[in-house]
Amino acid sequence: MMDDLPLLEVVDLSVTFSSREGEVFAVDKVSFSLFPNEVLGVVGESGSGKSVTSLSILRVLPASSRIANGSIFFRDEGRTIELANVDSESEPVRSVRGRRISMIFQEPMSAFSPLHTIGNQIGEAIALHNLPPGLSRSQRKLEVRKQTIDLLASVGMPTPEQLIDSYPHELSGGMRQRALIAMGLACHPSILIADEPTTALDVTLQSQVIALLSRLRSEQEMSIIFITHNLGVIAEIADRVLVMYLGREMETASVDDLFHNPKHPYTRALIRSMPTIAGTLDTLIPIEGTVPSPNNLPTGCRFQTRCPERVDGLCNVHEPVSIEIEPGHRVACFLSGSPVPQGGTND
Amino acid sequence: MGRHIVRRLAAMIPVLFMISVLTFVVIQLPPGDFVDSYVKQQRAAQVKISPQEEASLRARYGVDEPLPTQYFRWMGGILHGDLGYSLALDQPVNEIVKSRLPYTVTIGVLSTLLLYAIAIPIGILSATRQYSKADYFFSVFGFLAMGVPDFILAVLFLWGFYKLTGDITVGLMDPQYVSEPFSLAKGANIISHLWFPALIAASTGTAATIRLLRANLLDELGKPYVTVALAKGVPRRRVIYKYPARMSMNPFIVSAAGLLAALVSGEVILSITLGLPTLAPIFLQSLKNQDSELAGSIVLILSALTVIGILLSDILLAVVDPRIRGSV
Ligand SMILES: Nc1ncnc2c1ncn2[C@@H]1O[C@H](COP(=O)(O)OP(=O)(O)OP(=O)(O)O)[C@@H](O)[C@H]1O
Ligand SMILES: [Mg+2]
Repeated sequence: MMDDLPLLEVVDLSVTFSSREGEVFAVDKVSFSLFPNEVLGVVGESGSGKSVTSLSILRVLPASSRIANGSIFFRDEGRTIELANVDSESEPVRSVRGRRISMIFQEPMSAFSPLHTIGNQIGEAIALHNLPPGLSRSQRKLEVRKQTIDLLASVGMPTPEQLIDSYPHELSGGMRQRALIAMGLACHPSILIADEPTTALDVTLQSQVIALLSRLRSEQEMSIIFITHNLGVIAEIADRVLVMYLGREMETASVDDLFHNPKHPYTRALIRSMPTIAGTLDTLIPIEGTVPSPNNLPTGCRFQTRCPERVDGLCNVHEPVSIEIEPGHRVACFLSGSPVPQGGTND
Repeated sequence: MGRHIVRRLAAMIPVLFMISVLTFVVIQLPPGDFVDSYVKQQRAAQVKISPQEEASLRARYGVDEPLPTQYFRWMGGILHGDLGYSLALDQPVNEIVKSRLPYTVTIGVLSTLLLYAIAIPIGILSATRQYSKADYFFSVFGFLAMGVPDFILAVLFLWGFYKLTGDITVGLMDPQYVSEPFSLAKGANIISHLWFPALIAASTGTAATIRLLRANLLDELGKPYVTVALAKGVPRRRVIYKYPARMSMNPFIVSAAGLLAALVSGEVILSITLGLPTLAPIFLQSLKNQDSELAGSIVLILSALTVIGILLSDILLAVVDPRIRGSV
């Protein structure tokens, strides 16, 4: 798998929001790759920039934000498309968005317009990208409806013929989440970005959705970027993991390395704080302190204010850059060998 | 839905009844009555009125009867379609209303249509191009329109009209239509005369509506469902019209209900300035004269229009919003 060329390469991506205090970095020089048929897990506490990274790939960032730096390369159908340095409404972006790369959003209630049926909203993507040419108007309508019903059935909706005409508020949370997944899958994308697709669900539904995504991934030859707070879910579904904190990448590793050989103190703290991984409740240790505000970042390493292994005079002065400590395992920490800049302070 | 409408219509009746009682009482609250103010006016105009004449006037107009008697006499008539008699104008209220209400409604409907036709595209433009040159231009323009009183605009309009035509009366229609029966051509001619007064009447509301729509739409544009629609690959323009623009219309459907009544009360100065034969100036006069049956009838008509407007906007809201449809 690692021998293939990556499907998606994000290089030094930075995204800023303009606020009253000036430009705030929501994502700061993040790099990662996604390989064909791979599930990349992305973890990190709230505010670490997971959603903003995904929105950048699709170029649907909020109006107050912009890509300040970096490139995004997408290899598709024999060509490489750069997505970060072109207009968000340009042809390359339009040819990819929703068709080759699609996204399942975080909140199933607010992700649907309350004024349109779910069939209408799911069918919209199909009508745009997934119809054979040369159909008449009425044939198109029938085809869209047929595909939508099949799609709803494939995500485990019990009575898709009826549910297709319901409005979001008429569905239960679980059904709405499934409808949202169906919308993301409408056009058989080559990359699916799933932003916490299970957070709103109870445990049973959660594992059903994960099983569903795993199945679809092997059936459809799809790569998935799976964003979550939940390391337990990562252990179940991911091949590789990217750990983010306050807009920076902290560690990238295969799922085995991440759990058995975690290098970054933040990763270790995350693992200790997960009930399902830590085993019993006594061994569960929450991460001390709270995430600092992105408007007021700590000096040096972003995690240093909460890091149990901080080296004073180093970690609170310089910001470590990510280095590859072994093939496929990257860490941004002085304790793992990030180079210490000589003289002066890092930016 | 049908039952809901019937229920709402039934609920209108006590509301209108209470409004009519209130109006009637409030009009009589100031000291004196119609005959007092009539006699005072006549004396001011140097017309001699003897106490005997005054007494016979009082008897004829029944102003000394107890208030409930006066009220029920008026109400009894209304139930038979007779709105009573205007003492001041010496005319049945029915006739006054029949000749003036059409102009009021024409200006009202015309300015409502103009208001939306202008405000909706500009509001959408301002919100989708926030802080652009166009946004700033319309913001400044809008604050001016909100700040400058209607009668100043009316006076400016009259001046321009005079400069262009040498005529000082705007008129409702061209002379050749005056004695003709109503026809499409006559209607079109009236509209061509009234559209500018209607525009002036709508100016404040238009500016306010642009601000409101802009704020609503900016709010909606930040909602996740917009990002989701964009992420599906739907072109931005289509996303805006299909989702957030439609969502931000709901508050206007609600506010449209009171619009006609608000326009009539806002029309007073405009109509006086431009000499338009609408209900508004007569309404003002009837309040000054304590001409109860005329004033009461106008208030009642406006209230009925408002209540019906609210009902219509409720129905319309249920038509466009499935969440409301489910709950009625
Ligand atoms: N619309 C916005 N306006 C201003 N700042 C924003 C906006 N959206 C995100 N941010 C900022 O970007 C940073 C990253 O946010 P993001 O939503 O990507 O975090 P996340 O990792 O997805 O968190 P969560 O787990 O809560 O979903 C946050 O610090 C946040 O303050
Ligand atoms: Mg998020």
